[in-house]
Amino acid sequence: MKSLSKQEEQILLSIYHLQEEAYLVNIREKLKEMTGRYLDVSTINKSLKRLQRDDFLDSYSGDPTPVRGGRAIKYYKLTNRASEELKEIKSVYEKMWENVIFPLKNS
Amino acid sequence: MKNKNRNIPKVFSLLLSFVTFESDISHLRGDYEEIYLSIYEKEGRTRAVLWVLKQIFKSVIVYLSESIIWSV
Repeated sequence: MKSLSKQEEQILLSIYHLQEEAYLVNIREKLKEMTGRYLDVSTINKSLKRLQRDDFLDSYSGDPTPVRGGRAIKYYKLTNRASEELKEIKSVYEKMWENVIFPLKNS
Repeated sequence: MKNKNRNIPKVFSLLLSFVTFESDISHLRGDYEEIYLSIYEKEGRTRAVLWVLKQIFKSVIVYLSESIIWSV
């Protein structure tokens, strides 16, 4: 199974948190909120395209709005495959972070 | 009367379309417009235009990096 990059993981989690409002502009803002930095539109778009191609995301069109120059919004939602992958990632992280105490002991 | 047009300047909008390298870019142009307007309102026109120029530059870099990866 193709593994997700850190950035792709963060994008999928942003989409999860945004629920029905998951489109590029909001994903960008959610990533900023979570990571503290803005990603470029082209970088996010490239990841969204790849995630959709690899069956982690579905997309659908929303209504156009005047603020967008009358252009429609492209919303994203997680697929079952994304759900399974994120579940596995979370499980791995939980096992690896179990009993980790800061400051870390030197070996 | 002062020009109150708060859309992406046309020349930059055309450049963005040119460097986006996608078949269906309508929604993406809408995303750029929305973010541009947000920056315009919070930080002013100059910052918004600088942001667009940076996006154009980054789009070219992303496209070139993908082309190199797929040609290897």
